[in-house]
Amino acid sequence: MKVLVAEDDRTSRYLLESFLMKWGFEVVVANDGSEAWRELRLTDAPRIAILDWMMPGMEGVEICRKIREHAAESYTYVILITAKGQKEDVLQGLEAGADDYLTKPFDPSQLRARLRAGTRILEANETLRAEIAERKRAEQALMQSEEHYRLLFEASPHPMWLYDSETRAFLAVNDAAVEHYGHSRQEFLAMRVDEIRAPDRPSGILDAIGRIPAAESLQPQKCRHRKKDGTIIDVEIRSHPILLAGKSAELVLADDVTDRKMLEEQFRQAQKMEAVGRLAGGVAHDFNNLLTVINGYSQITLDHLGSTDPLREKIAEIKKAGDRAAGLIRQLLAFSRQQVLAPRVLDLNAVVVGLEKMLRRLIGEDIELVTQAAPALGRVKADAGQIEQVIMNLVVNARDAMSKGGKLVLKTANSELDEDFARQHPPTLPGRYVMLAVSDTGCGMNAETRARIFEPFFTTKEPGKGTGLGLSTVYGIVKQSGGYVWVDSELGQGATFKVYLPRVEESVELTQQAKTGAPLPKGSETVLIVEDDASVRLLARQVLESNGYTVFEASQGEEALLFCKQHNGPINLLLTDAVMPQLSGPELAKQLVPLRPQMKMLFMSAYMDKATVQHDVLDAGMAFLQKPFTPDTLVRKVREVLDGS
Amino acid sequence: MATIEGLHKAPAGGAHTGDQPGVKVLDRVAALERADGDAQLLGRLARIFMDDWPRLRSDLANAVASEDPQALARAAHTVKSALGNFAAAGAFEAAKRLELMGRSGDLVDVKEAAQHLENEVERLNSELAGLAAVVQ
Repeated sequence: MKVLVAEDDRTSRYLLESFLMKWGFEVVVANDGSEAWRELRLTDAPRIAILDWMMPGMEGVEICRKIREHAAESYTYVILITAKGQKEDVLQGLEAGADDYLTKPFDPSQLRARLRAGTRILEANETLRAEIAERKRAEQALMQSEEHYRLLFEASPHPMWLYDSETRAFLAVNDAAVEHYGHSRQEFLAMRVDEIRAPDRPSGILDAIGRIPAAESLQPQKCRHRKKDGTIIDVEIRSHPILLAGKSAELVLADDVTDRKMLEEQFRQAQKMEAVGRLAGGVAHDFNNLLTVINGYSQITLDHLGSTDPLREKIAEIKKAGDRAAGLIRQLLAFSRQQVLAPRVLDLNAVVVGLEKMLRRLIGEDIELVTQAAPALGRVKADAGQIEQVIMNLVVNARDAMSKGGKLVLKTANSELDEDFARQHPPTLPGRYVMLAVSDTGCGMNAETRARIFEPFFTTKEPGKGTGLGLSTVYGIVKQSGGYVWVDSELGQGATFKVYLPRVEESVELTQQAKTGAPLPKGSETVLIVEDDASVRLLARQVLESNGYTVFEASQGEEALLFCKQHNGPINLLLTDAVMPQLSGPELAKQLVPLRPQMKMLFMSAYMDKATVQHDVLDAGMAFLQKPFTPDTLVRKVREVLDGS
Repeated sequence: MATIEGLHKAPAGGAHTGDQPGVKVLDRVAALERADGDAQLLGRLARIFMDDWPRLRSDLANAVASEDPQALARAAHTVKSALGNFAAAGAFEAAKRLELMGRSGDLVDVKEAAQHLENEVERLNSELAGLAAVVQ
């Protein structure tokens, strides 16, 4: 330790210097006050200063004052030397900032003890300074880390907040929370967490959420929150208990899953419709064969019975029921998108105008019908009959929702669906569409009904009043036509069904009116029937034979192939089921073309399997007969194909 | 230790002043204590004082001649400090008296007091020389 001895008297200075060196101190000497002050201001200055009170240049007490006034890196321990008994001097010296004093002549052991005390104080001071410096460093590090965490909290894209576990008052919220919920920071800090919870949640659940144990709190909790503007949102909450200034608090991260939940719901709904559609299609396929037989034989029997026959009425009832069942099956097929469509370019306005008279009759006098046709409406490509069916079903549905009268609006418009809309309404593709909207002022529907409205056999009408197939038919036809149908409705607020069909740039095609009611055309040609269902096969045979045709039959493709090879006479027409086990209708046809190039072909099916029927028959432009068929349609179709070029 | 013993037995007869009976010119035991028992150190101090004395005496004489009380107080203080190290009570008291005169500004008896200090230091000289003699 370096010590300064400032003493003008050589003898005393030498004595002090000698003692200090003997005791192991490093000594710096000064002959007068000015020299002492110079020494003390150097870098690495002495830590202890022994100053004589009375010195030329500058007195000891003055140096002492200057040392204390001068802010130095380290503390200088000052011992003043005074003459014995000068009490005022001692007091003045201590006031000036001296740490200790010695009276002359001094006792060496006392000087040594006082130097030790000074050294101890300096060392303690040093330790303290180091501790303070360390604490300052730690504080700075803490501040920095606090800054990092504050940033994590503040800059999080998810709403986050901190609330007091006891009072449930918000303690802090981040920017995302302010932005997402619409409350300002000040408003949040004056609120309790329960105030953002949606009101319909039972309080029991709310309490349970408040008591989630720490271990489970990392599992997100689903709940509903209300924004400042009243919007209800679905959120997933992750909550973590923390201690904040000794009080227990909860750190909460909220994830708005409203959009995700809606998309999931729509996706689930689409999957369900797909599954139900497939099931309905499968059922319809089997029923079609049965109904073809029931209705076919009823017709044949009726043709054979005299007009006064007592059985006639009974058979007619069977036929009527069979026809109704066939109608239902057609609707099921429409829903499962397995109908044969004859799409052509249409003007929806023209379709609506053509239907208007009939629709007015349909809805009755209590309901006002308004049509709002958009000028310059784009064209769509769809089956006119099916689109009429869509409009009729929607209008009937609207009528039934307005039992006490109301207003029904039929509106058409060009519509552009953008990326945003497509994202929110999967599986919509963005693009140009033509919209047809049917709005009513009726009873409307709740979300639950809205979600199931297009499901087959789902109905809100009394038993016996509706089949539950009207809107499913709409759904199936629109889907099969490449379009979309959406419903907007709230309970008591009426409903609007919007059908979007892709817009096309081609011009409208003219319709060909089918001939009906003419007498059945007879024939004498040879027909080979290939059908795996024995009853349908038999019915077709009997119908054709009774109309003059020579008929051969085969239960499957291989058998037909063999017959064609072995039979010597002509075969004018192949009437074959399209979908059969082993060899399909189109495959059989392909193999027969080289054998009998003159033979005409007619395919029949109820099941619009994409791979075989749609692609190989319809798209290939082959003649087609939809099951279930009546004897009349079979005979007319066979004649038409045989007469065709 | 032999040195200390020698010091203790040093010519005690001349250590008493005529003016202040019973007060030693230099209390060797006390002086040695103040040097932490180091006779060599004490000897070197004695030599330093003897070397310095002509200058100190001239500072005093100048202050007296110019009747400057502040200069007198300072010069007397320095002498007093130095003498304090040797437990030379008579000389110490003489220096102290001069310092007080300087402080109070009452210089009426200053010449007599200065002469008294000179006499005291004169009497101390042989003692100091004795102390200085042990320095190797």
